[in-house]
Amino acid sequence: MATINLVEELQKPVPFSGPDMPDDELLRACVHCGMCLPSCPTYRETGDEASSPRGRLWMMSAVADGKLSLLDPDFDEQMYQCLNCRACEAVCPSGVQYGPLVEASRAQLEQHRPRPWWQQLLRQSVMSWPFDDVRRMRTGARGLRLYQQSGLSRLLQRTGVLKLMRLENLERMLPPIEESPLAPGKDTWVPKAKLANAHVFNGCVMSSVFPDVNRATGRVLAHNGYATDVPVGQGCCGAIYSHTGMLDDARVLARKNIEAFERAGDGAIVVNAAGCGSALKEYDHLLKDDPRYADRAKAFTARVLDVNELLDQQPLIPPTHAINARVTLQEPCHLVHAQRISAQPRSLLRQVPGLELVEMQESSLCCGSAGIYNITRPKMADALGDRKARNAMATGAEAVVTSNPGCQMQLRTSLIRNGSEQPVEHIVSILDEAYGGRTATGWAIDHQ
Amino acid sequence: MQSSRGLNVSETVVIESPAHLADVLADATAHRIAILPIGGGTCLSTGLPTNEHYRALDLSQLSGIENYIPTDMTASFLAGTPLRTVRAALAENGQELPIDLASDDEGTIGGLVATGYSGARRYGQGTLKDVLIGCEYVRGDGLLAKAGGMTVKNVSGFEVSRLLHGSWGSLAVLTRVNLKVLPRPKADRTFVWQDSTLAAALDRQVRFLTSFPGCIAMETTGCGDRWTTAIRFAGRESALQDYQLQLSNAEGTPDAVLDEWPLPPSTEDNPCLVANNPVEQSRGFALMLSTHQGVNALSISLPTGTVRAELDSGLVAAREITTHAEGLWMIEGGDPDWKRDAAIWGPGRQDIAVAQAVKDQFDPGNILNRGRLFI
Amino acid sequence: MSNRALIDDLVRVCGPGGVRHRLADLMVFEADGSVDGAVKTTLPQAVVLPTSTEQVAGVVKIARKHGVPVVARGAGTGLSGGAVAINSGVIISLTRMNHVLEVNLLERTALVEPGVVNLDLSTHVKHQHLFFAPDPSSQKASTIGGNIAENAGGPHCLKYGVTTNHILGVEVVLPSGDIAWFDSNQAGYGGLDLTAAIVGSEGMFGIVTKALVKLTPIPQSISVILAAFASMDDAAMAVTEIIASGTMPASLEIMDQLSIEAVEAAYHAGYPTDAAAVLLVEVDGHPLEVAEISADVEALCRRIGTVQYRQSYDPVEQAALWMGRKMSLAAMGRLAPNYYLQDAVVPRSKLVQTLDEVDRLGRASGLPVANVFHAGDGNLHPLILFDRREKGAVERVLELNHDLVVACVELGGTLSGEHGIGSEKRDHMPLIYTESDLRAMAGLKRSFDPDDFFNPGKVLPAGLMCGELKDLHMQRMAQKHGIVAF
Repeated sequence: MATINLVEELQKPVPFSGPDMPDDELLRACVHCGMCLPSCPTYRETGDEASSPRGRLWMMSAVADGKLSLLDPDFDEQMYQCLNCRACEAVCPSGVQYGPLVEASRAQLEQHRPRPWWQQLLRQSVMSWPFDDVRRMRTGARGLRLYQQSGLSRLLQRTGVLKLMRLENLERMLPPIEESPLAPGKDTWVPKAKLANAHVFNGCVMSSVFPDVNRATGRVLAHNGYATDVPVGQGCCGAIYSHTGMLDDARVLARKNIEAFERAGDGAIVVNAAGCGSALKEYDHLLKDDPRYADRAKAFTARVLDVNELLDQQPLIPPTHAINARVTLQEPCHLVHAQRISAQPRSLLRQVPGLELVEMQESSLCCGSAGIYNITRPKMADALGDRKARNAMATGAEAVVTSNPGCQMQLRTSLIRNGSEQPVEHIVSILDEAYGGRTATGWAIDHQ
Repeated sequence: MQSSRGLNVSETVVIESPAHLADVLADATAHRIAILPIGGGTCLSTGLPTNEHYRALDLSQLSGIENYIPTDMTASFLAGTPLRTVRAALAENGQELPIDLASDDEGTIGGLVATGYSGARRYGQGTLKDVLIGCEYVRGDGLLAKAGGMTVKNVSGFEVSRLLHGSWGSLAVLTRVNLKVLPRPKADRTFVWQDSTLAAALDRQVRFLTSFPGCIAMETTGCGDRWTTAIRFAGRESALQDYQLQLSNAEGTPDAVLDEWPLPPSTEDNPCLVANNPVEQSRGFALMLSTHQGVNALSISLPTGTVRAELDSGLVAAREITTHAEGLWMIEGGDPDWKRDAAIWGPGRQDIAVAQAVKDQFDPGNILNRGRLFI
Repeated sequence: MSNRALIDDLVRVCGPGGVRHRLADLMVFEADGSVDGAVKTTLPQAVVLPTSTEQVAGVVKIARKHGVPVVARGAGTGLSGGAVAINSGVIISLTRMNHVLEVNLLERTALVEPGVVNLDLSTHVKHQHLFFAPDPSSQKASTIGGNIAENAGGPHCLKYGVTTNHILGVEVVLPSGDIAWFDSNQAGYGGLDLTAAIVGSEGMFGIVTKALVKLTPIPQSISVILAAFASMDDAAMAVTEIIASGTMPASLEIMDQLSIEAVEAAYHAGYPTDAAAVLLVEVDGHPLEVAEISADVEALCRRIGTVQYRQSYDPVEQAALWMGRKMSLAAMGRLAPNYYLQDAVVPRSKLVQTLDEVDRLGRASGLPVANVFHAGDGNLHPLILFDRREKGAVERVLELNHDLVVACVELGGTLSGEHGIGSEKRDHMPLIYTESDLRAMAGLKRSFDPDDFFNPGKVLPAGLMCGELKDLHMQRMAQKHGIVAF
């Protein structure tokens, strides 16, 4: 008798429990109408409803109702197959907040699911080490640069060691790194006629891999009247942690950033990485239960603007240099879905003389980058990357424009894999070129 | 015993009501009596000649407008209502069916639905299937039933009504049809051009197809070196004048501008081959090509007195043309002796097994139009 | 274990990547757009994701061999519990068969696979200035195959007709596992228009694996008109007069005050909240004609006494005018957490009377009811608002729904205009059909599927497909006519 009870006990579905449970109110908002299905990249790719937002919400409800175990491997699979691109939120007629729900489900899995040692190790090495400190990330990036130049890269690619370490995708995505990163507290850009202050959010990947984009951001903002600086004390936005259910780690970083930008004084917090922007705009939700930081998070969130958003608040100061080229726009998920910024980049590109914007099919479907998704799930990421590359190539555009470093890297890899030479540019780099680039006048760098 | 267009009719029953019809058909099924439903009797020359002795059904008593509310744009007619009556009643309220009905048409509305007749306006406005919203019918085995209703949209239950459209009375006898009616356009105009070759006429049609998608009908008719291509528009006068201007700019001044669509001559007594899908050459026969969406109807008229060898070669031509285009064809009218051996219902059908199962279900005694039809 | 054997057989046809059989993967196929509690679903034994007609046929044969029923499914956006399993079995999800195979510009047709999303087809042919006319509200997600199964409608079917008017032929996998092509052109040509029977058969006759569909030219000019009225009677009169004036707008939509309030609270669409009804009219066609008709509509609306009138030819402004209507369901969240969407149709002349009845019944039940509807074709969409967490709420909703259906039927209406019967409205069928009507429909089903193997338990009330009833008519006829031979 006792044995049978034990068996039953073991078979009982494991429910959600402990901190960061998916909010029941949010979960019940879904009326399973299915309107989200085609917006979802993994559903588009697989045609399987288990891989759709409705399917995943249905599973979450089943766990909440005790009909499915939290530890069911298929539940785990789906919670992590999701790119958290939030495309479903943008189309949901019932306004279901999918992002917080999937993040909470992942937090539940992190709390309750025993992981094999090698996965833990991998996660620690990929996740914790580089991102929790920007300096370390940068050191890592410098190391990678050395590694790229040394020929070790090719050797390792050939031997397949990277594949074994599941790092080959990270390797493939890295562009050659040429510039040194911005110096927080030192680099500033002073406009001729000041309109307002702007504080650049440096970002881990952006500052390490695309420091030139951050510089271009400073220049373009200065052209348009913003006295721009890079506040000291800021760090990683924490998106990587909140997306993988490591909410407490994300909170630590959030508090640090709030403090840094409070010290920086008034003015917009400008982000040129859509993924970071969307994370910063959710600090209020992340810290809603923190009595010391809840209000400060709200105030912080209200100041955050994506660079597209800020620049398109009024017509651009007319760019001086024509760019005679056709470009196509790839919309980062965390810009178009999470932040609902879609018209602004188009409006900005239209103001560049000579530039022609050709729309690609599925411009707002995830490219497969999604934070570290392309490292952890290369197969799905590659499939989505190929799809995006095909759509981009079909436009015949000479360059692809986007505004998120993850997308930039993923697009570049995907285009190369599909035999395309199309360069991938951040929208700010395009605008910067239209103002004459580094050699332009009309503003001044003030190196303190 | 009387003969009706080569069909032997041993007796005629005047149908008084749907319930009466149900009894007649149940009895006929029980005794395996072949039934010939007759509406206006205009299509009796179509079909295979048979040696059956039919009990004919005179459906003319089932006549009348049952429910017509003009602002609902729906109307319900008993199946034996003459088309003249239908046309007049609708016209009085500025409405019409999307099909050209001649004022002297002898047919009935039930017959029109049962035969699936469609004219040139099928291109822009579809067939009666598109406006058929419900019906009442008696199956071959005598079951009296209805499907659909009087609402213009209805997905309650299976689409029996639309299945009966064009089924030539092989499954059931209609007793009532419910139709969605349309407002009559303020103006209706047809522009006509002449060409000396069929190829030129067909080129013209292709240009119309690509440049004037808003037209409601398009047709090429002719023979030898006289080909007429007509394009028709309906709507407000201002739009029609603009279409005329555009057409004249593109195609030159039309050879004729008509306020009425030239209805094709009756093919009652001539064998007439009607086929679906395009044709490349006329093989010397008089020919009419109506372009519809996804289907082009080709009629070949063979004059009375055509010798048998010519009829046969006409049939071979039709077969070649339609087989090439994966189309269907049928022969209307014609000499019974000749029709006996000609495949007048066109090529074999790959869905015959299902069609036969449906037939067996509706008409288990195989009494309805026995021997005349494809199934 | 027989389930194991079934799965193994299915994997042989669809490959391991094309078969789902574990709990979490199966349970998501119990979801569709119908309201919780209205449909009793069961977990399917397996879900397959075939990529070809041959695979579909193979799956059907295997299911037959194992004696389990088959349910075909598109995107699962249906509102009537049609594409869910209620007797277990195999669900065939057709979402991977999503290719536009051919577009014929001259004939203006497209050959498509059933999993093509409705709006994707229109996007695909947009550059050719064509579109697929049926536009159900779910068109961003629902598939052509699903639209065919339900004979889907939409706001623009007033002028362009419902799905059945746009399907020229279908390739189907039959319950025997055989593959057949049904050509609608057989109507009148001596055969049967079996396509007509397939459209709207809710997956009970055959599984559509290809469809030849009509494409419609994008109109040269479109005019969108918003007219607000102080009473529902005025709005309905405007509809009647527009119809009577001999014009056929592309769509005629009405929203009542409760819907307007919800939309304004949520989206600030600029609809006047003090109006009792907002009428949206879309007119399309030749630019001169559209201008004339728009002027006529304006004149008659002003004569009746519109309290706000807006008209636009600009696509951006038009989208703004339509926004309130398009977002009306979403906006209901402002009034209550859940809604039940009703789909009855009444003759247009009975609209006002029906709305009064809806109002009366809603008040009696204590549940708020908002109305957003296709006024041009009498298709009502009363939205019963409720909170499903309240005890007994779903039961009260279903009860009110029943009363609404009865009221509509008494006014000459029908159960469903575009959402289908499925398992959800199945037991309402005797309200509009006699036993004979239903038996004839069951007969049609049997001629395609004698063993009740495809999507069993839908559309026809329980008992109609069983053997006893099947021969009842024959027995009666035999008694009456004294013949027992057939």
